[in-house]
Amino acid sequence: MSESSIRSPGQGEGGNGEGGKREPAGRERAGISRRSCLKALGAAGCTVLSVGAGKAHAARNFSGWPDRFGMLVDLTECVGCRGCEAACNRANGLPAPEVPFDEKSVFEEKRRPTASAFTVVNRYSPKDGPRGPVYRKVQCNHCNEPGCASACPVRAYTKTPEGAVLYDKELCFGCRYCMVACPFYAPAYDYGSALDPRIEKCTFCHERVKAGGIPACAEACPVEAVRFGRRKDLITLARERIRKHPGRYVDRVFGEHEVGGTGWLYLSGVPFEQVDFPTDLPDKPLVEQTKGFLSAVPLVLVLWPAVLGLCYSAKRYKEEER
Amino acid sequence: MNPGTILAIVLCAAISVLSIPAAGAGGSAPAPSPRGKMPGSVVLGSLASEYGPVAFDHAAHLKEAGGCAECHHQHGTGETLECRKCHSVDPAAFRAAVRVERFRPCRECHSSSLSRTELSRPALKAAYHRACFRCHREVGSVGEDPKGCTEMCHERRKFAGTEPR
Repeated sequence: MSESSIRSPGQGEGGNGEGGKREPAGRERAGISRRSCLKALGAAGCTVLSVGAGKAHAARNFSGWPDRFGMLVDLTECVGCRGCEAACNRANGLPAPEVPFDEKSVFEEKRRPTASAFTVVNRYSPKDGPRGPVYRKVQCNHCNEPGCASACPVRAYTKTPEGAVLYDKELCFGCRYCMVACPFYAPAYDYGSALDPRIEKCTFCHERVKAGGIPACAEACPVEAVRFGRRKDLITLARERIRKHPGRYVDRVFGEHEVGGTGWLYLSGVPFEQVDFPTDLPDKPLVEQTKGFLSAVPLVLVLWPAVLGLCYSAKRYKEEER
Repeated sequence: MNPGTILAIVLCAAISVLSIPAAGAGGSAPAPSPRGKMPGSVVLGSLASEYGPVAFDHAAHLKEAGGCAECHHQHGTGETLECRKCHSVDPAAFRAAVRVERFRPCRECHSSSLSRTELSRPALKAAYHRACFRCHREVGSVGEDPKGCTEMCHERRKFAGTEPR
């Protein structure tokens, strides 16, 4: 097949040189269609390659919004008062909880954020820990390159320059891919409304932050176990604390590099896996894991039909010639 | 040796001799005893909003702690900041700031509102609470029991969302 298709243009040109006027009309048409087909094929290939290259270039050079905000959670400071949960509830106008916020029986089981509680505090008694319990606040970590956003087919998620990963429920159609994609199990689905699909999660109090304020949970925390600030300043602060108190902290700032870095950072006095942090996460953003495959999809979708079409037309041309 | 040089040497000597007793008097003057001026109890209420002010029994805490430095971290503790963070380098301001007979109120260094950029020291609310939890957490009275907020120190004023549905 390939030999005939390569040779046939030569034959055509030869014929043209001898006397173009004698060329049969059908053959001329077939030649044009083959040439335009090749042209289109080349153009499509170039476009796909250049788009791919452009995107890869942009992703390499962009290391996140420079002045984005973050949060530093110091697990050694938290006393489990649940003041952050109450403040979050109030700031977001969420429904009143089934049990009051000063009720400690909720610590009996490990909770996840839900559509009516964007943050929850869990209690742990790690074996390597201090005598008392260790409390861990759970919510969306506002990744630098969010897995939820890369999984969302309708681009309902946005990473803002301020640092928040926001969700637009107007765009969402309820596929819940984001819930699967999130390594921290942060997005929660509102199963109560069948006709109005909705994901709920921490908004990093985006409106308050844009207005010059501080997220409600950080404002409420009595010990600044949750500290709001520029992400780069918080990393410096966290490193400084580890340096000053090496016996108090594990030498790791969780979220500095995990899945490409998260907006929320954590310091702990016990190994992170003992307080249910996913410690097997890659340092590369999750989107990097799928980018290779997904970038091949348009290539296959565009080029494969074109290649098959070319083969088909070449075959038909040969048959017509015969 | 010309008379000018001799005069200068004599003057320098005189000044140094005169200044020694003055410095000695200043240093050895009995500073007022901290215990003499110590408050028996104080009401910590400058931040009170959701929770009521705290009636703090200072005398009882001193007796339990056995020393000022357990809570007041200005001098003599590992948590101390560099001198110049609190004391201005201007000599006059330094002398005014270093008053051994009293501790500076917490709010002079710890701002009552949270800053988005100044992260070097905790704000007033956290400074208070951390000072309390340093001991109370260890004895398990707060860390083990989140109800401690209103059981031990604060009277609850309003705390939206705490009422059962």
